[in-house]
Amino acid sequence: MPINRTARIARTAHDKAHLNRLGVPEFGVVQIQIQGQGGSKSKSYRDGSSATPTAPATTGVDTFHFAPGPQYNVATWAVDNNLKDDVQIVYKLHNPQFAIATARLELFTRFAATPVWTRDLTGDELLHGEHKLQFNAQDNWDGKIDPHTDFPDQFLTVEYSPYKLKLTITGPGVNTSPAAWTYFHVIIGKLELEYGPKDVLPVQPANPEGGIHRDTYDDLITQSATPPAAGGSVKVFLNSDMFKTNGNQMMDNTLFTRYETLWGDGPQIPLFCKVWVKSSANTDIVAYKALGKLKFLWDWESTAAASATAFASSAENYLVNKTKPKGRNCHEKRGGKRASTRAVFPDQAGTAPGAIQAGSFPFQVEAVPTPRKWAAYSYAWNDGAAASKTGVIFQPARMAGDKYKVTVYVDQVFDRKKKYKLNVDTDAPLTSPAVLKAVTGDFQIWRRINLRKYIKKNGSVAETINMATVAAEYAKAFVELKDLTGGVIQNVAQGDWNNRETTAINGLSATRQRMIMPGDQYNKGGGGVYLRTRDQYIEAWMEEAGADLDALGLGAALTPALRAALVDAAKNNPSNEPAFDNAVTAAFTNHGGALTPVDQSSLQGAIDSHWITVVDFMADPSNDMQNDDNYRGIAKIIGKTIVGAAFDPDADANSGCTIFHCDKLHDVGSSLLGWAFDVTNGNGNRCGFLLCATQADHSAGDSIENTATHEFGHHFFLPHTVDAGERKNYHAHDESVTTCIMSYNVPTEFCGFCQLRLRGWDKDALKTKASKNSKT
Amino acid sequence: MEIRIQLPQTSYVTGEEIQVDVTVRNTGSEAVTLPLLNDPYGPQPYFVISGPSFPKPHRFYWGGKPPSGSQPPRQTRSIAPGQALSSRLSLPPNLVFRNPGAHELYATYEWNGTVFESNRVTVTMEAPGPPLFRVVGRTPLSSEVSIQALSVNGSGLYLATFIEDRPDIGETEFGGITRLATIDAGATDFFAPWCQTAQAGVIGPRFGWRTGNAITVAGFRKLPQRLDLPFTPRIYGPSLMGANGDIDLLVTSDAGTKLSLLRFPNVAYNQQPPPARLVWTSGVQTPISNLAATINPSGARFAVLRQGGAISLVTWDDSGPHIQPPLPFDGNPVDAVAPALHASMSGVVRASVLTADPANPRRVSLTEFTWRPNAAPETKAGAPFDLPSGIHSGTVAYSMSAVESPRRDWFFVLDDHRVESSLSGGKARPTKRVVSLPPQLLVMSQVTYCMAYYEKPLLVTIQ
Repeated sequence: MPINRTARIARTAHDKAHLNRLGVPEFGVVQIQIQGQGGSKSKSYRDGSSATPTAPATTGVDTFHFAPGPQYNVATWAVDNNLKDDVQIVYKLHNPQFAIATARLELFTRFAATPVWTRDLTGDELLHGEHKLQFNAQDNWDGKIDPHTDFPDQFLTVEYSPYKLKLTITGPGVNTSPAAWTYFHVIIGKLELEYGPKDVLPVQPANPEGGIHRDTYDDLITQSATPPAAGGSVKVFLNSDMFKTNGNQMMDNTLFTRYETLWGDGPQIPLFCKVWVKSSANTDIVAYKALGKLKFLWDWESTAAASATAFASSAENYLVNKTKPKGRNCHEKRGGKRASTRAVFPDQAGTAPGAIQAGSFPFQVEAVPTPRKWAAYSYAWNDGAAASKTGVIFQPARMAGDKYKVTVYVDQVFDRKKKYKLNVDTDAPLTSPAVLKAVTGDFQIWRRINLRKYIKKNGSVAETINMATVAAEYAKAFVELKDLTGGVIQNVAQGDWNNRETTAINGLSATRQRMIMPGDQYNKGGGGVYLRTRDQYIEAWMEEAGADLDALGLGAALTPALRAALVDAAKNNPSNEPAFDNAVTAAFTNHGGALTPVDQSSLQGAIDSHWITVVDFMADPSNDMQNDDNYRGIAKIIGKTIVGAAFDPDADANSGCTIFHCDKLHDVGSSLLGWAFDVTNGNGNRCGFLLCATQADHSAGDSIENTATHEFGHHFFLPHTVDAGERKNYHAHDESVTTCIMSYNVPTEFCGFCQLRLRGWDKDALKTKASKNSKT
Repeated sequence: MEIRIQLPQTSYVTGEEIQVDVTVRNTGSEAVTLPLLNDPYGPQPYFVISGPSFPKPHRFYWGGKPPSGSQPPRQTRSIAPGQALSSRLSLPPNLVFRNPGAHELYATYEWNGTVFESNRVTVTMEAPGPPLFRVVGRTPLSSEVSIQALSVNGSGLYLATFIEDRPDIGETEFGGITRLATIDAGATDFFAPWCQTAQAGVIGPRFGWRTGNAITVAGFRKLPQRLDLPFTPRIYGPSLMGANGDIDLLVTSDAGTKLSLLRFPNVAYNQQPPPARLVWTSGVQTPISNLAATINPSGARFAVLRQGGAISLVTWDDSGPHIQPPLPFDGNPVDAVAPALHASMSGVVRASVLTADPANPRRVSLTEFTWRPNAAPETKAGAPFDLPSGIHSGTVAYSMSAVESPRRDWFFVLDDHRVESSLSGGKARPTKRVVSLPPQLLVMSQVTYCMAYYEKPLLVTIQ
């Protein structure tokens, strides 16, 4: 290809032979590199046709990186002006004849046709030889560029890395190497997960039932200051001291709806991620201006394993491989979040960098667009208390037993259409260098119900419920029955017990008060209330005939002996009228010699009236004392009233459960093992369980621990199983299981239906036949 | 050792308490010490029964579930040679006779490793008639007696009892039925009282029936108290029994144009009752189509009259009724369902009337009326709801207790024989149980029961 050049030369005289020589000036860029700490440098490139007398250096690497901008001190997480990762832009020109007229440095980002920064070299910067580009009369460059919309902080960032720095020259003459360039990066050093501060969580009014995110947070921190590492796990406890307030709530879906009201879309856990940038010396530093609006993709996986109980496992096996993400966590159709549009990482508006504001989440979070729409993007702060950090509110479903693994990725790579590489719907884990992600262990959701107090009547109550056994049964449903008693068992004070029972007894009618065995009820033993048997009751009432006789006002005519004989006649013959009549006759014969006929008639009438009143009353079925069985029925009614009153004031004032324990409800044949005790002003967040039986009262294979588990189950909204002779079709049990703890059979464990309800699942969405809950 | 048994009666209706007189005699030469036969912790005796309900002999402990042995017998007695120990034992109420007919019963008693068998006796179970129950209302805030209901079977008037074992979980126990009295031939319109008190005592509930123009009230060892009226009365709802045992009953004339108060004074056990009387009769302009009455623990008595498309609150004394201005309601009243009525301790009275949409009889709604002391009455129309079938018989009921914020439930037996309740989620369901009509609803402290029959009387949690 011809090249045209204009040259001017001096004319030569006609008699002279001197020679004019025409020389064409040559110039070019030899190389450009960025040099970092510790001798690191980038690699310089030219095109293949470029040539200069001095060959470019062959040192340098394509992976050169540095960390632009100021840095935080890791210990203080505040700016430390002594920390910097400045680099030098070093270039070499071939320009012996000062031919370079223009030289321009241009900085390009990925796929960009126009530079984000340019700088024209002038003056001495164009001279032949090697130069270090000066910034503010210094050799060092901190990565700062001129103002640009993509770089609001004016520092180069990871967001647009890698970068191309190109030096282009022009001038008259032969430009043998018109350009050289080099590549460099601003890259992530590492990601490190941590819990964000509690302050970012919502400020909620106190709720004794639970539902307070900060309580769950405190518990997490107590377990470990940092989120579980990959392979590890942590339990996320959701306080839910919520108990039924009426019997129908066991049959309906109140457990689900109340738990939903309490915990809504689940606990809020602030997960933060510290973002470290790799320095030119290959160390991880906090270059908080070097991240830009980098996208951090938060992804979750459902990692729950199959339950041991077949029914629960079958229900978990619902579209396991069809949902995104796949897994066995509770499906949205049963109230969970698997396949739900309710975000595990909900959107956050974020706040301006600075101090973290109480009750506000600092980072902007938005849902990833389709296809990976269950994930979320977050962005980092470039200043302030959470600079070089990003994060999300991790909000797993409230369903106990669900298990989550969280991964945060740097989603920095995009194509020319700005489609980000990690926004795909493939199963986790996504393909990403290890350095660009951080993975947690498993967060497993647990409900927590607090056991506050264990109270016995007195020291005569010898047995003690093994609460670990009870708790182990609930643990199968991922419910922690948290024993806060510290192993302390309290006794009711003797005075309190007797006073409370007396008050309750005084509230009964006279016919019921007579059932109570006289004496110090507390000292009689470990039983709840000590009663007269039906026979003793009749005897006692017959003895009261003496008062009727006294009321006649006969004075000395009613001798003590006659009085005693008449009373004995009634007392000793309560069911034999002829014998009673004979005894009365004998009493008058033996002791009534001094009586006038009128007085004897009065006494005869009084004793007869008393006797027949007792007999009729005791036979009247409306009085519920016509036989021992009915008498026991009334004993149960008043026994529960009296014993309940004796224990109730000692119930713990805080939300949760109190155990009350006596040996028997009463001593006239009580078969009651225990009951779900409604404490006064329980308000649905305090409850009690009263055990009134011993191990020996239980059938073989049954135990007081089973009774405790069973009765607490009632408080926790679980009904009995379907009885054989009295069908109650309330769809609340695995129909194939006859030994659920909520049955009256010798139990094995909670049936799967009960377990799922305890876990918070939607009862209305479950069938009683296991296979009908499964779908593939 | 010898054991003998005998029955006070030989024929029973299902559920009736079966008492057995048991005698254990020491036939040896030395005194023996035995637990009392009715000791709940005594290990003996057992019974064996066979017959139509028990093709295979069924052996059971006299009290039902045998004692665990963890507690010794409460009382023992030394029985000299030739002496005996006797007791009247009741067979456990959970002994269910599914088939009528003659059954053979004997007892066993084990002594020193030898099992002694008693003589055989015959227990004849009568075929059950259609169940008819009327609940005894107990308005007090706490009760010392069981749930009780009048039960009618053949010529017998019985009292059925239930224990609400577990109010928290709606668990009840049938306590058996006991014969109270014999009813007149041709008796109809049975009624039971709502009681001011719920304590045991010599004043027990008395029950009534109509025979032509006569109304009779009777109870356990309470002799019949008959009142002949100069008109054929219509009986709608419960009688009201005050703490003194006097019973008030509001009735109307057959056409509903007259309202009358009848009083049956209290009577002691086995005493001739004082005469019952017609206290007053008052004419009304609009015929009464239904009424409901109640009494609260302080003894205040109230009734509501349903007349045409309105309801009126009534109080009364011996001089006559005090009928408040009628309050209208929309729709047509459903004849098969009586008004519901509740009076709280403070005297707030609530009533509910079920009405149907004139254009769609299956679309019904409940309108509630509230009368507060010294305040204008309030009317609150409920949301209409659709039934899949017409109502054959139904009941709307408030909390039994005189609480200030009563619950309200309903239970309907539909023309298609299914049942639907306020707690059935808008669904009608079939049932194998026989529901006494009108449904006897008990809105208790935590759950609501309906009285039904399936092999024995039941209290069934409505759902």
